[in-house]
Amino acid sequence: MSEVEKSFNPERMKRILFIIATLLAVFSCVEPAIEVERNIELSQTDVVIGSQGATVKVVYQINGADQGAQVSVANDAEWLTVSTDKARLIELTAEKNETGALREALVRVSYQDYEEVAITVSQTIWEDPIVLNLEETQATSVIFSVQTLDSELTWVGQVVGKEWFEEMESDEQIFQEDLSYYSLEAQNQGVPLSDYISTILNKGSFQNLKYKGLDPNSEYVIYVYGLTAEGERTTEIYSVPAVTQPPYDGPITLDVQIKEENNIMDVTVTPSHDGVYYYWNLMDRETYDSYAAQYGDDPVKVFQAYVEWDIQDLIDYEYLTTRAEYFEWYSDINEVNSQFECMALTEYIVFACKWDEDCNFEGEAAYKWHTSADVTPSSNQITVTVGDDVDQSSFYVEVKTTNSDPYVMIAEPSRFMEGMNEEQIYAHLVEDYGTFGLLNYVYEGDIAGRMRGLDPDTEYTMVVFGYKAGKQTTAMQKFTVRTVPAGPAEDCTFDFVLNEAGSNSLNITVTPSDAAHFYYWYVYSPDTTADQVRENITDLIQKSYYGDLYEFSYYELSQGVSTGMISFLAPNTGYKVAAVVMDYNTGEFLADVVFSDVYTTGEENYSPTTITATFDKFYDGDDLYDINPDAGAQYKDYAMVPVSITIDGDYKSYYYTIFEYETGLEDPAQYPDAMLYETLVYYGVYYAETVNFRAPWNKAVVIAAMAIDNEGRYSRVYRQKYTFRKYNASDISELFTKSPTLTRDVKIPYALPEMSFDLKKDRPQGDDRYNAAKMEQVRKENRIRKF
Amino acid sequence: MKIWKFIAGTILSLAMLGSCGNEVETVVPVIDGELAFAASSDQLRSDGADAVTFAVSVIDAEGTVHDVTEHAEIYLTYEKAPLTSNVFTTDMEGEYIFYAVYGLQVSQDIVITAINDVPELPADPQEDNVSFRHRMLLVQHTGATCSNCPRMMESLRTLSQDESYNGLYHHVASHSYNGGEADAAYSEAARDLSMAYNLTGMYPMLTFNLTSTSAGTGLSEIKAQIDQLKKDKAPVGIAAAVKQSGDDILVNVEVKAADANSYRLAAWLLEDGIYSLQSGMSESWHNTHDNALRYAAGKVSQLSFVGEKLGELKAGEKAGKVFVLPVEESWVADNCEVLILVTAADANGNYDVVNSALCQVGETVVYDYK
Repeated sequence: MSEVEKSFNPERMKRILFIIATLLAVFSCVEPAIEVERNIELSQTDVVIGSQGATVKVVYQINGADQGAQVSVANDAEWLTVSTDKARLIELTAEKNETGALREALVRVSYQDYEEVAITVSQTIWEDPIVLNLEETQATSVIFSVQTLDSELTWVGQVVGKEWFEEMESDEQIFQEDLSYYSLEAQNQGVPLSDYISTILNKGSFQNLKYKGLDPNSEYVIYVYGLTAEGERTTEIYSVPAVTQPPYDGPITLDVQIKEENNIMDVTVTPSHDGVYYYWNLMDRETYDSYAAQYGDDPVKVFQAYVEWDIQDLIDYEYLTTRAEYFEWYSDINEVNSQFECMALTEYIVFACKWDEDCNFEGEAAYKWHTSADVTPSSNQITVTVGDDVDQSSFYVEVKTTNSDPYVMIAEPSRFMEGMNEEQIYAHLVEDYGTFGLLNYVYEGDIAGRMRGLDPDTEYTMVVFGYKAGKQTTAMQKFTVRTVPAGPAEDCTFDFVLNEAGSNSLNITVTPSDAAHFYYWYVYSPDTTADQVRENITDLIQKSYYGDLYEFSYYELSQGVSTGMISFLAPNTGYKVAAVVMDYNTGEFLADVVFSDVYTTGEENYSPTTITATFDKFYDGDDLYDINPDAGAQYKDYAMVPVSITIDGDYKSYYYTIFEYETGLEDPAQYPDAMLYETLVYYGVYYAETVNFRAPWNKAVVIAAMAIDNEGRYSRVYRQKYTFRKYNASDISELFTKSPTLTRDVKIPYALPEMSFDLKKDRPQGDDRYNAAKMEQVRKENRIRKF
Repeated sequence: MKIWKFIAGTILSLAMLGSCGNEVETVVPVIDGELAFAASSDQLRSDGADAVTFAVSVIDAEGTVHDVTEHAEIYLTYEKAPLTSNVFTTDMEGEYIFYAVYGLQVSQDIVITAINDVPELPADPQEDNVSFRHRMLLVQHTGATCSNCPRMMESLRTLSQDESYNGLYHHVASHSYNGGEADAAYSEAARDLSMAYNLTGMYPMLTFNLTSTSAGTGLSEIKAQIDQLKKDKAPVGIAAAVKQSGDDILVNVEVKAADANSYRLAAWLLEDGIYSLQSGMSESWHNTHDNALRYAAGKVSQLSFVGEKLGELKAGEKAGKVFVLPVEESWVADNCEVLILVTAADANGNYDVVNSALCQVGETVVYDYK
């Protein structure tokens, strides 16, 4: 590359051309004597720097000087920085012009005896794109204004706790936190991020923006910044602190407004002052009258009585310990707007009153009575197919509808409805379930499934009718189905199907010949006897369910067809399924244990990676506690054992822990690796290769470890049995000689997990016996506030 | 090289005709127009041999591009003298800032990163071959507190064991659900990726390349989509080398084009074996999360993952780039791997993934020829 010291200058070129042409014509073989002009050229001499501040580069050229020649500059303004550190460049730098006035400077550029040239520099006044002003604070709200320089600027604002705001280190960190929040909100609303942001953007200037719902007497920060729908921040973040006022201490009035549409009551309660704690609720006429009969026809007395009853009820059920908690839960301080689905043609009272922290009403109460509208009949044509597929405890139902109007479907033993006409059945259901309870049996649209949990040899009447707002909206359809009689439990046989065999799992379907009976099923080793199965189940009830038969039956017993995946089995090992009919309530075995054929799990696929977990020394936790009570607290009365792992082979994760010892635990033949994997993965240490464990004195324990290699295969489980005795503990000073700080401690729950070697059985799919006579349903949103 | 160079076409001719036995130095007028300053790469190895070549051009009012490299001065910032040529080499790692001066115009700065310890690419075993296998990108949008997500995990695990499909894609688990709550595999890159895909909150979600969304979590649906998107040949092949260097993972990537197009390149850091209790889990392996997206290099902006420009490549032409991926303290570098994505422009100029390759730390991958 050649170097250029002069650039094109038309005037100079004309002169040179003339000289050259003349010389060529007259003295064609004489070299031209070129006279070089000595001056300083600049790329610009009038520079305007943007109001927000910037660096502007001016290129200079010193004609007639050596390469590398550098100009000198003189600057008469403090606000302007002038640099010639970079070759051929004069850099003019100014910060944001917040002086409120246009500013100018003159930069003189010189070189030796060359004629000086000047650069005039000016900078316009900076105006913030957004000006945020706090106008007023109230007890639960702040009022502020946002002025934008550009009326098209889109922006967002936030009001946050001062503590959070001060934790943020930069505008960018605040923005990233906001962006995460926007993203989460978009996810929750099921819309793209840009759509969500569009809903929160403001454009241009606003006065008297009010942010409500703040706590009285608290410190906040309001901040705003420019933002596009695409999530691009366009300005810095502008903020102002704000402290809300203390709560208003005087009397207040409350305004109650009620609207209703489509049997949805819309209630608005507006307090005369923000920040005053008040209670509001509603009650139907029937409930009101029952309280009024006892406490007098005075809304304050009625609702005070209800509050007292509610508090006591919650305390009795241990949901509540103090009245102050109730006050906190049910206090409102701002205007509230709430909707709830009301019953047709029902009278309601909406009540609101200021109250104190002991939940006693004070001052003037506000209330309003409202009678809800009637419900029109539904045109929904509901077609029900039932009775084709019935067994001892369930039958199949298919429902087709012509629109999405809600309907009730409910089945009861026919004797419950015997002799009743349609009106009487409806009254009976309302009486038994209540209008609120019936919501559990309301469906919308087409559905199909099994009605489960029925008694055998029983005639059931299933009724289906349109239902809305506590009122029947279509004619009632009735169907009767008789369940199949149950045989004796001892005659119940089982059909077992192996769906899939993995290295460590079996997927099995169990079908009883008689769907009336509840049964337990699981896999066992092929040589397990019926007595051992029963013993195992009894142990399960006692050890895992602490004798709670309800819990056991709920989670462990099946009825009808059951499919489940049994995990953590040993590979290439035979297992047989055992099933036994049991009494749901008493846990009694009602029949012999039935076994399947032997199913074999898939070929083993252990990782070749090996892992060991060892320790050199252990210490008396009491000694540690004496030296450092904080560090030693969790080891008091225990041995502190620093365990380290060593892994040979590739691995991507590892788990290790200490188990309480059980006979044979160190023997893979008695406790296959697969039985330990789950506990290790759930409870094992996975984050550090050395940790301090807590181990009991004088009790056998097993240190166990496993690794998972890069292909996801599990290693064989390392296991070593130890018993820690105090007299073998090393001197605690050795711990500190070795290292002045403790190895990372393991929290107590990880140190000695409660051990369970019961094989895991996944909860059967589609087994809905727990909810008698109930199918999967479309629940209506319960908008009722408190009742 | 201190010379005067003036030009005047006719005068130059006259001077030559004059033929006095002395060369007359010519002068080139400065061309008016928009100054452009470009480098052959924005990075190089600091080995004293690897070089970056600069070019300076002017686009005149008619839109004609004039190469003025020979007549411009190229400066390394704070050096008083311009470069003696338009080629730059160095044996010191770091960032170097250059600018060009032409006439009385100065260019934008160009930043060149000199990197030490760049992992060596594997040799290309078939230089003339441009027939590459294709692997699409599957992104599993998931989260540890997403109770429906194990269903997708099951489907993807089964898919990964199906030999007729597991060679057709590379899988990334992007943990972005619920703002990463209680999820050790969450990352800001995953959050941004979910926003870039404009997900609508329906987790789990599977996306294919950068544009296609799965209709469901079922294996058959996933396979059907793969069947639609799979290609017999990729328009570009990928070779790479990855190594750890201090707290960073260095990725050296080279691509070879089979089809002429404009390509971009990205490198994503993935981590295996992250333990985080999985909501809805039924198997212990659900709690251990693999292929979790940790960091994405080659983002154009916070929400654009199309990769850094490689530029126009002709068939058979190669281009490369080095990425430096930071490893945060809580990540396990030994469990990390790097997914390389090449994107190409479609007819509308929109970029999507056209091939991908996975490289373990400390290893290399060669072009995957068919």
